[in-house]
Amino acid sequence: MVKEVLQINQVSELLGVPEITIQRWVHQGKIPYRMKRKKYLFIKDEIINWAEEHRIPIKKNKNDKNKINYNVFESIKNGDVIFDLEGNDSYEILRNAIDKIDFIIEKDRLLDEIIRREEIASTGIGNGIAIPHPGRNFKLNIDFPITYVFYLKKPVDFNSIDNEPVSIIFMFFTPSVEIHLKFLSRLSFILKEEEFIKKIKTCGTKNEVIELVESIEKNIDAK
Amino acid sequence: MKLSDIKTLFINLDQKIQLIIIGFIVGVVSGAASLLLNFSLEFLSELIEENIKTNFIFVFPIMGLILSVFFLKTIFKDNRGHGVPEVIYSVRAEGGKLRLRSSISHLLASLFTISFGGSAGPEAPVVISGASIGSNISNFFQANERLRISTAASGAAGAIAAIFNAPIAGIIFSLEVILGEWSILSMLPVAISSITATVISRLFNGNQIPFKHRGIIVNINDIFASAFFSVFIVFFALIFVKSLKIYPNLLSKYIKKAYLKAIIGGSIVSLIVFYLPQVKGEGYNLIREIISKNYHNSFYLILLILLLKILATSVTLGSGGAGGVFAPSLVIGSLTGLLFYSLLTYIFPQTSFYGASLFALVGMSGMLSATLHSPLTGIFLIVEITGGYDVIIPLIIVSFLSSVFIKYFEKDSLYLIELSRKGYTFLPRSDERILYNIRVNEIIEKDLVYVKRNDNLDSIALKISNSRRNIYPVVENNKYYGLLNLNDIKALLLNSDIRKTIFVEEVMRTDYPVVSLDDNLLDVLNIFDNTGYWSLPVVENGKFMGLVSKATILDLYRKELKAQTDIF
Repeated sequence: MVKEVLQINQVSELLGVPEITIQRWVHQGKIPYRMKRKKYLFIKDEIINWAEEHRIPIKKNKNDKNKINYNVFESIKNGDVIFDLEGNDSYEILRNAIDKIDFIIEKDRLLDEIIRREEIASTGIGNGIAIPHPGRNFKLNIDFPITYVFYLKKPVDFNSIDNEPVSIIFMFFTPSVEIHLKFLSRLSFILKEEEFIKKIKTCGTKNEVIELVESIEKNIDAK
Repeated sequence: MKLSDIKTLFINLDQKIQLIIIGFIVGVVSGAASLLLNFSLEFLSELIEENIKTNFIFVFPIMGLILSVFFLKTIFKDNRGHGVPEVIYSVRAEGGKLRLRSSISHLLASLFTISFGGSAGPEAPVVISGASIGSNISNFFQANERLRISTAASGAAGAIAAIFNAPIAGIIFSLEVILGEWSILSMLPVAISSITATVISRLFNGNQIPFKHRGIIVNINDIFASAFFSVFIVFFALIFVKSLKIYPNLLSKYIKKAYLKAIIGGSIVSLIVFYLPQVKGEGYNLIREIISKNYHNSFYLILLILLLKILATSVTLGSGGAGGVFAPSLVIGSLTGLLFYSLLTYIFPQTSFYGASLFALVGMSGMLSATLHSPLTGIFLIVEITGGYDVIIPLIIVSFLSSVFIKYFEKDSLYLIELSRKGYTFLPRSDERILYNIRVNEIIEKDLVYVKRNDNLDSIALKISNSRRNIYPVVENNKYYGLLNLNDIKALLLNSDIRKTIFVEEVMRTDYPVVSLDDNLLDVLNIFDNTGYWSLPVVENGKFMGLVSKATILDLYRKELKAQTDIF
């Protein structure tokens, strides 16, 4: 049986304490260790046993969950950009928009959910943009965020915070509250950028929208 | 002077004086309990031996087990615990609380188990009885927890001291096995009780040395052989421990009814005892024979007796019999010594060793050290019950080596296996012990900033910026809905437009595990460790009570550690 050998930094990571603490434990003779050429080595099994005996929690390998892509431009790639959406008021707009989203099966329920959400607080965030989305009760079987962008044929009143009529809608869906929070945070940064507000109105194709969002997003990340 | 006056007087005494007085009282009572069991055991055994000569004796072990189950389960309803482990758990985690009925139930049940031929020791029942008497005497005086722990431990010490006429072994057993700590303050009542119980036992029995032997002269060969002997002991100790663990599990798998278990177990024991009467009862006569060199048998017969003693003990205790592993450990240890000696003389016919009795004595201590992980108890018990220090060097070698070697195969002592599986092995003043005793309601935080589900982030931004906290419970009409974590919404708060359109329900967290007021901090900290969160909501029947946070726990923990340090 080959024993897995750990370096001091790996033990520090495993137990979630600084390396210097591991060194102190070694000097105080509290943790099992080996010596090889004046270097401290640790046998993984021994360390795990020791930690269990002393009830020191062992850090589990972090799930790949954190590696989910929250990029807004990716989510638009996963969704779609639709131009000339018909509708005379916010209700019609939302109904027609949901109609165009292929992966949603329970379209009526989603509409109810989004309307309910809008009634509590409008998602019209000003500058002619709204970001309607379902609340936490509407569970979706998706693995990553999906965004649909709609350009309205004519602007409609959305009860926005600046009272301006809305002409562009970002409707997005997230798999969980945690991801929702992260995604929403990113989106809020993008929607604040002046360059974005200026240029988004002039986009004419899906690719143009994605490229614009991507470049804005890269700028934000670079900051 | 009324009884209540005496109580008041006692409560207001200095703690050390209290410990001395209560140690004395517990010593008297536990000594008496031990005498009582001993006399009844002898009386009943002789009665059975003399009056029933026919093959009818075959069914006695079955009857013994049935009676034991009858007393423990049906009459006293006291079969929840497993004897000594229950005492250890009580002393280490429950502030020494023990039921009054435990002081008599195990005593009675073991009387029938052992005198009717089952293989078990009378020590555990006496220890339970002594500890329970001690605990309830403390209750009578309305003593505090620390006093009650001491008295329960003193009861256990008195029991062992009286049963073996061995005061030091009583003290050490209580400290090493039951309490698990060696502070002078906890030693005080234990020592007083131990000597008092010894004196009581000597008043009635005289100063008898249970296993007296003629002077043993240990030579260098014996000492070398001892080192190897400990490996030999650990081997058989493992068989013993495993068999004690496996048999009840196996039985429970197929049979649920306690009486049926007793009948089946009793039949197995009957069969063994019928062909090999040496294994029955507590087995002290067998030890006496072995030590006084009256025991001559072939290697294979000894091995057979040894293995069947292990089996008979496992079956007796696993089928509802009351009793302990203390005496069986001694018997198995002495048989192991015998076995080792015959092996030794077979391999080295030219070399001179003292003899079988030396290894039998040392084997007893070694086996006790290996099964209970308590070398000191083993050493001092053997010194006291054999009346001399002749064998002290091999005794120390074997006891310490076997108690260390067995740890490679069996992490916990026989008494702690069950507790350890449930996660409770903690020693006094250890991290777990301290945390286990503190409940959430001690550290709950209530000066919080609350938010509602329909608040939008803009409306609470000011509230949040004025607060030093990062976690805001979402509560309406006392009902708990979730937690708002500042870290989650930082980016949203920075966007003064978007924050007007986002409301709390959408961004609150509902994945935080909920704890209740009565949860202990050991469990709560485990949740903190597993989730990585720093605060958790305390909710009682859907009602929000407050938050617990890791930082507060740490703060209290330090103070608690200081308060718990004994200053003698």
